[in-house]
Amino acid sequence: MLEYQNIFTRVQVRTQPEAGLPIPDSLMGPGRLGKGMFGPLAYWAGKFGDAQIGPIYLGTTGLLSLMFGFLAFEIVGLNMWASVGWDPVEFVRRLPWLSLEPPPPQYGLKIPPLNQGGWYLLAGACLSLSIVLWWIRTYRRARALGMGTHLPWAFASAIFLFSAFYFQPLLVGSWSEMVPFGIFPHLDWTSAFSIRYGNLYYNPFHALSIVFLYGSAVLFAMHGATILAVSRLGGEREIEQITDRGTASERAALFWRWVMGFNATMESIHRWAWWFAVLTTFTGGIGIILTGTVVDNWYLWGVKHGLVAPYPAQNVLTEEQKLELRGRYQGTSPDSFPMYNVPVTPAAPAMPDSMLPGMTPAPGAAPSATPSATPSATPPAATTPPGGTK
Amino acid sequence: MALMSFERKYRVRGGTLIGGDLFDFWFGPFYVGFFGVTTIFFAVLGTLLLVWGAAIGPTWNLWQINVAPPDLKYGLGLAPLREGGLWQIVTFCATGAFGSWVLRQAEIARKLGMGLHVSWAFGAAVAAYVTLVIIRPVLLGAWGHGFPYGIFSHLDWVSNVGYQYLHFHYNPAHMIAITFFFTNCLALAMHGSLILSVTNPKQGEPVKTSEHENVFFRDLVGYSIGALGIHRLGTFLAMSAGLWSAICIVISGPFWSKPWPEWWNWWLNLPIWGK
Amino acid sequence: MRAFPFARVALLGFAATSLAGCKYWKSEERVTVQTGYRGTAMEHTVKKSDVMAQFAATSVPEPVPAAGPSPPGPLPWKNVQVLNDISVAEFNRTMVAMSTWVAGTGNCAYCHNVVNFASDTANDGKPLYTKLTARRMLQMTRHINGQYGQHVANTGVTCYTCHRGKPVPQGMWTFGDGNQYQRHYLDRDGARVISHEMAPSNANRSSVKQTEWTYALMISMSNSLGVNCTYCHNTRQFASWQEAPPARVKALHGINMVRDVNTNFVAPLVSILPQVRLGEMGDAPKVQCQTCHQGVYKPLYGAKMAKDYPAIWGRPDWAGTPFPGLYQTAADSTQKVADAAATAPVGGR
Repeated sequence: MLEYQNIFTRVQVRTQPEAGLPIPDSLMGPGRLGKGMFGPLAYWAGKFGDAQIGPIYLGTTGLLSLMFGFLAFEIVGLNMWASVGWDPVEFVRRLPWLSLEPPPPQYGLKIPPLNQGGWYLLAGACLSLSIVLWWIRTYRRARALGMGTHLPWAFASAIFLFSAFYFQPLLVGSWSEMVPFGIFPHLDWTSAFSIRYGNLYYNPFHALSIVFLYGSAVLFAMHGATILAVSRLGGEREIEQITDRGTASERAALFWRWVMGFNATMESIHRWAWWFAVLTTFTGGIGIILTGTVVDNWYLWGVKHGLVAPYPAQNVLTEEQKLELRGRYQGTSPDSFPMYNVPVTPAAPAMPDSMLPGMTPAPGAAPSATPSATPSATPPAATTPPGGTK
Repeated sequence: MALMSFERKYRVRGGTLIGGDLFDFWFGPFYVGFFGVTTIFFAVLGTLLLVWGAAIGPTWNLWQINVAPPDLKYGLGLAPLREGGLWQIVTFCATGAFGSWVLRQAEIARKLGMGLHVSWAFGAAVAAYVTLVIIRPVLLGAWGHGFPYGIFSHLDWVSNVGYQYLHFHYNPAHMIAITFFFTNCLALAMHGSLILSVTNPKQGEPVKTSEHENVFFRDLVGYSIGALGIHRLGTFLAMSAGLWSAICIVISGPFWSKPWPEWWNWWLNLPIWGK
Repeated sequence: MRAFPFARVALLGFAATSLAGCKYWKSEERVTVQTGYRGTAMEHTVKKSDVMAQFAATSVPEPVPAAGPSPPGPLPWKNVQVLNDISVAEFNRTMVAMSTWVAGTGNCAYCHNVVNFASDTANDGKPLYTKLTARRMLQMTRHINGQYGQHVANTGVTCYTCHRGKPVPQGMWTFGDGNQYQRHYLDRDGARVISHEMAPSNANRSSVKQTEWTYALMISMSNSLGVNCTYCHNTRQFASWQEAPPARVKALHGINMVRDVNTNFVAPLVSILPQVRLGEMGDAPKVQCQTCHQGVYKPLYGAKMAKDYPAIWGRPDWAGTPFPGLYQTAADSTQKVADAAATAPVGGR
């Protein structure tokens, strides 16, 4: 099978770069920058895709979006750097573990001090503004070229998922539910969120979202491979194939018809693609918003709706044992941690007299119950617990 | 049977890998071929065995049906049917069916004068499945390491395998695979959107050109990968997502059995930090 | 220009990686133990050579020769406040054992004023914090063996279980900034964050942040025992007892035991420990699972040390063997030594 598979481009063409179609000028921004070029990077890009880099359009919304985005990036980064005492070596060393945390639970939805989540809220606000401005940019670029607005609406679905991580904490009543900024910390949040709400695998919208995510992978593998397979017949010229069906589209359609009994057209495959990708984030966002607001334990929701597969019980408990094991929740009252009471075993023997007078058997020198500034408990970082282990 | 308007001229003989003309025919819209026969055989047998597995189980509820692999104590041997043997035979049938599907796709592509890219792409997904139920269990010494066949029970397996490593998100290959999945979703959304926005433009406008495709993305992000490039990229992203998923699970157990957060200690302990 | 042989290079690369990978994997190297129903993936995989090395590195001291004949009746020494219900010979062999288990030196001077063994103060009048601590620890050991049989069973604990030949055990913890989750081992009740009902209610107001702390606690517990989450849980529902392996109940008794020990025995030692032994916030070091288990699912791989030392049983009998000592106290043996009542300040606060 020593024939060319059209994976990498073997001969790159160089002519004048394409300066682009004329569009109205920008109000605030510089507008279209440059004429496009074939720099050194472009050669490597050209082995896989198009060889031309640029021009780019920088308008009002794009400029503002970049500014707010940069601001958010700086707030996050500088806070991370501050958290390691401005040590440049430690900053690089611990970068994947560093974070900018949301406000701790006791603030509810109030605005906290800067170093107790205030910076986090500022960074989040700048980032959100930047994203919304970028959305406007995608809309205006589509309109300026007279194109449909499918891309902005797909982007809107992604923004919906992003906003779900803001609305859910709002509905639950606490900023502390929000996702921290940080590479590993945001993964810790993902696990903690699933644990807190009783195993997100049983959230039907989570399941749907995953179906669409994996389905998107299946679809793009199918579609990409199909087009490459008919690229020898000009299949990648999809617009032409849509308006004037050629042998590439015909063979592509027949391939799938013969394989699985039905097929799409050159246009409709892109509708399948659009919906699978958009529904990934859309159903995901719904799943997040329902969590903690409508359902507090998804496994129990699954039990109620007959989803949970029965396994043989591992532990058969007596009623007495169940009572003993019932225990209490953390945070039962709004701002306190209940004190521990010695369990029902014979009391510990009294302190012997040899202990010097003036001493009491209470727990010694405990710090205040409120967490310290910018709670830095990074749970699963290393094997031994951080801080104070001998 | 219902043919597409242009279909007849494409229905020619040839392209088969095995069997020559014997199975070179269509059943309705479906092409048969030698591998169509093997697919039907494996798929029907496997499905019936799954139904049998549901019958000897406690429920017919579609979400709760569970055909579980054998206990680890059976190692790589054949377990009794009701104690995981069914699972083993279903796995054999599934592998046979998926492999047949790949080769049938190859036969159809050859018949249509197309490249074999689809077979390769689907092969990545099949490789992920085979890694999960054959390669990793063999490396660990027991068929019981495969995932159970059940809609929600297989998710319990995923959860427990993850927590075996305390925090599976720290698996670096898992991170790469997720990145590929999410990037693939983004790229698919962008590509689908682009084609639809060009062929379904603003009210009253004519269908746009490939110039518009390129200019839109150059205006937006300064680069347009192009009509051919996006399909190369999409295939690459999707296949990589599948392959890195296979990698991330095959290293968990056979090559790394400590908690995954611990793996990152190599970075924290590099001598260049001077600690 | 010749085409670059991508296919051939890819195949070669794959072959090379596979061959290289073989070096890192041998078929008998991985052992897996199943703890749940088949297909649930509740299991534990270990690298055999790692476990063998860890096992080889664990040493259990030989038991001190059994107590021979003793003069009958109570101990002839003064100021014995805890071990006053055993024979002379048993008392002496316990002291010998403690000198290796805790002091590590094999001699008595680490705890005792060797000029006056009964005294609780050194020659310069300062209190012997080591002896005072040891006395409280003896009470603690008896308390654990006597009241927490649901956790320590008939294996029990001795001083060696934690101390391992060192005065300060490995794996103690003190108050700090990044380890607030360890407060669960002391006085923070309820690491439970998962609702027992489907709908949200005021019964459970835990936040995701508190969940992260519970998660951190559980990870530290896993590392302390060298096991993973599925040892005690079916992770599809952490909160469920029916779905959990029996080890979870044992672990709950262990947590109760740790809290009891910390609250009533270890944390109060802050009054007598010198500054050098305290944490950065001035608190006494406290125990956690790691302190006894030291990375193994059973401390010392389940070696039964306690049965040989009736002095620390805290029970009337140990797996059928009755407690040999006499529950007899004489006024003589609890008489305080005169200088122990002196009001010298506690060292190093």
